Amino acid sequence: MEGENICYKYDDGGSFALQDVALRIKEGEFVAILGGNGSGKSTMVKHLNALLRLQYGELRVAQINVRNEEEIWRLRRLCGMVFQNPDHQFVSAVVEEDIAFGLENYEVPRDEIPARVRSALAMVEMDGGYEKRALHTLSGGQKQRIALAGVLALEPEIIIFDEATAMLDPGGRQEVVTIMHKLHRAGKTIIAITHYVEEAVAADQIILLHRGRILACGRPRAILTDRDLMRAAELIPPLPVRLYYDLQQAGVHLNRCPLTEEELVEAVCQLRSKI
Amino acid sequence: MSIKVENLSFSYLQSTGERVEALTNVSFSLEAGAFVGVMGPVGSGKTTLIQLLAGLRVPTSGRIYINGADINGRGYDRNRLRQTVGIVFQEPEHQLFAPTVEKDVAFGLKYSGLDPQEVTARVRWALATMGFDYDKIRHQSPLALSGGEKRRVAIAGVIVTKPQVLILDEPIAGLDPSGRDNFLRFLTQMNQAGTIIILVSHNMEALADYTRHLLVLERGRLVDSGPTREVFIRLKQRTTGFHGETGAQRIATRLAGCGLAHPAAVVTYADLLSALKQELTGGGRG
Repeated sequence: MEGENICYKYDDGGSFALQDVALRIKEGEFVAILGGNGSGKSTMVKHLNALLRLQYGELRVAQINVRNEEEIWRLRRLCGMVFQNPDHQFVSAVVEEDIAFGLENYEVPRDEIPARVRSALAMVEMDGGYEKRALHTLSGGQKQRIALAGVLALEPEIIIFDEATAMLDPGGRQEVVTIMHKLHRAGKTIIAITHYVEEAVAADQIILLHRGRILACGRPRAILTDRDLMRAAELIPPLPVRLYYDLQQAGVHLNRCPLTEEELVEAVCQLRSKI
Repeated sequence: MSIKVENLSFSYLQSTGERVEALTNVSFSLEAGAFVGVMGPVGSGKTTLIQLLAGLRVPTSGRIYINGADINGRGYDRNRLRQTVGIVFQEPEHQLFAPTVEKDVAFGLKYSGLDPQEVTARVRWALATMGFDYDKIRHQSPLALSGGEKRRVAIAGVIVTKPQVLILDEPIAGLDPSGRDNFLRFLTQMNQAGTIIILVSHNMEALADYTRHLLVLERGRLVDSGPTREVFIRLKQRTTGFHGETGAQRIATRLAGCGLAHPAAVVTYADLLSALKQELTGGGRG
């Protein structure tokens, strides 16, 4: 994906929701998009599959110019999207019917549909008995995985998660994050908007948005351990980073700023062994 | 202000003819000034419980007393209940409807009998409380705001009536971290001013840092309740079923491997920070 000078203004007469945004996302990358409410995260990703039409600037996704009307359906199939509330994404009451819906819309031959549904369910680890289940009997994490399976059945190359973990309990959130990483390892390009900064730690790249502009992009360590940058984006760093700075203030100096819980434990144990 | 719940059960018939027990024999009581968290997996009965408390559903059996009066009893004034109990549903932004933010927030005061100046003052207060500049936002269409902003406008529309009990179903999902903290601090202020707060959330840090009492639901049953800290410590020790722990608890357990004393006493971020300060400055050894 390559974009330059992307600007977007909603037709309510307000200010620009996106201003001069440039992005470069490589095939197979895991990109986390962070930013406060109203920073333009959703507006930005909705351009990637032309849910929002480009007003200014240039954007190509997998060599497709998003302005090209004739390519829109191919683009949307290539670039699947999972939203915050799984219940809003279902069109049917039964698991397999819901997953088949998208395939029918795209006129996938009828005899291919059952196999595609089964393989999508396997990818989200919900094969084996869930096909006929009523959606309302599933847990939050399971529902979100079914919503994802509906997207995966169309065999997209790029999967966008727009705060797909925000409504889930801790167990459900973990389920969805695990599947995201599995899809990434399988070669899919993953773009995840999240308010849980911990979910961005393992990304290849973080894009930090603030008031419609890109404040920074780069490796998670460079972004998430930069306290001033995080403050400027009105975000709170991950727990190990906060702890590092708070301990520093109390005169306790860990050897480096830890990004993950593993690194924190290691740094604390190391320091402790010296006391 | 007090709330007493006795043997509350709620079940319903599915289209298949199967009876679903959404809530079974739940009892607890809350006193004035309570700040209560409700946790449990999706489908554990949390939403059913708060719908019953707000009088939006009638229990299959059991009683709810607010200030000693049975809210489902004959002759109970439902209007009084609506003025006493404010409820913020999941994704309240879907309830926005008015052409301007100001009109949307003021709607809840339509039948309050307040004069227009008071209404304006209340709307200004509610919007300012939710972090908005009243003069900037009042004429905007609520539908043109971002997701998080819509959420805050919708909540302003509930608090504008100054309810004595404020129930919130997963209000912080989708709010950014600073919006989340501001909102939770605001709930604390409301609580200090005497409002009972009932907060349903999946966010363990929010529950650990802000609530004083916790109710844990699982499969429609109240499986634990008590002071927040004690419940978190017990939840950590559970081997089956719902498992909730804070990041600080998880890290403290791992640090026990290199000799952190009393890891089980760490529940919040502040606990973890002070335990580590003690350990690493040698302060705990004098």
